[in-house]
Amino acid sequence: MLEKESEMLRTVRGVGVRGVIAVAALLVTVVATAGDELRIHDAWMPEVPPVARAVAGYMTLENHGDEPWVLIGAGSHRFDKVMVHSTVEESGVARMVHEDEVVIPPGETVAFDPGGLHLMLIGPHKPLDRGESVDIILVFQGGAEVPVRFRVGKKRVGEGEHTP
Amino acid sequence: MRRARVAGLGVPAALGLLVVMALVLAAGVWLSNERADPYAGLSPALQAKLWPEPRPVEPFHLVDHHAEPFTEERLHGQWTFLFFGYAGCPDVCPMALRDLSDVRKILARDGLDDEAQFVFVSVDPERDTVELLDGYVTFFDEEIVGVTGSQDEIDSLTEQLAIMSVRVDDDGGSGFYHFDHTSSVMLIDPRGRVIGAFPPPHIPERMAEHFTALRNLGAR
Ligand SMILES: [Cu+2]
Repeated sequence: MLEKESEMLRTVRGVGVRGVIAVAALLVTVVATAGDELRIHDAWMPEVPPVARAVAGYMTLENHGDEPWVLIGAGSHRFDKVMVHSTVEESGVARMVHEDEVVIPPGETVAFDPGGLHLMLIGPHKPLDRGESVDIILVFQGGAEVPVRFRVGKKRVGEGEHTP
Repeated sequence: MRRARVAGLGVPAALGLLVVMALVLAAGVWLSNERADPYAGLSPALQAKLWPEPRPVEPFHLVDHHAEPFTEERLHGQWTFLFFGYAGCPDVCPMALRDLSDVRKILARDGLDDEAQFVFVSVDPERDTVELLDGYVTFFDEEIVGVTGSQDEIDSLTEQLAIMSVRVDDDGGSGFYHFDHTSSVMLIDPRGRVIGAFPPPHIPERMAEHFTALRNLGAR
């Protein structure tokens, strides 16, 4: 049952007061219909070597509400620092750009995927194991702090979990 | 705050270098059309990735993750897929290493894996020590070779391969820094000559096909 829960969509309802969403987010996994609704799913981190100094966090955010959601930061107890970045290819060079905010407009979906938007998770306090779940707090404009559970695995764009 | 690592040049100079190299490439393409093209039988998609003239890699002195010397001599006698990155890289490098590992597995399936090696060269030698690379590259694939060394020697290699690498320090004063770097995989032939560059996205099946086509051309 718990295992099932972690696979389900994580649904957040705003209903005007975005500051008090945090606790509800952990509990509410049922799709709600009205209000400022944001669904975050497919949150995962690629497996990296224990010596890796940073790892990326990927996820998909769907705004089912009537107002934009604006991601302005993130944090976690497992890492020294979390930043929102995107990788931009320019004349054959992969540049990593800091994003002050990522807007998820009403009715739209924003995907954090390899080679594009990612959470930059710097300085893991201990190595991440395959299949492990790691909580990251996403901070949105208006003060909402949304905990999201990331699975450590091998998922790639357009694929399910797969083994080598 | 940025510091370019292309032969000690500043960013504008490094970009200028890129422009010059693009012109040289364009001139080379024009010239190669003027005479018999050894790559004529290859697909346009593959031809677009090849340098107009193979260019020998000049001597350099680096060290692999077993602390053995890694010099231009190690580029002779087999093909080399060469990628430049760093162990603190969260997105592009793990992706590229997984892709290279997949290419190697496809070649192994076809019995060609002993004809190619896969090499990851650090552009952050200050942090990427031999010991660290040993734990890093082998996590992705036991057969991938990790290479590091002095900054000067790495610069001399990146310069001749037209690899760009720029250190970017975090504005927030966290002491964190990352590198913006070339994300192409360079291909070196068994005579130790750069023959082309595979820009991302690196689709393993496609890279293996391209490798096989080039290898068959050479085997003829
Ligand atoms: Cu990043």
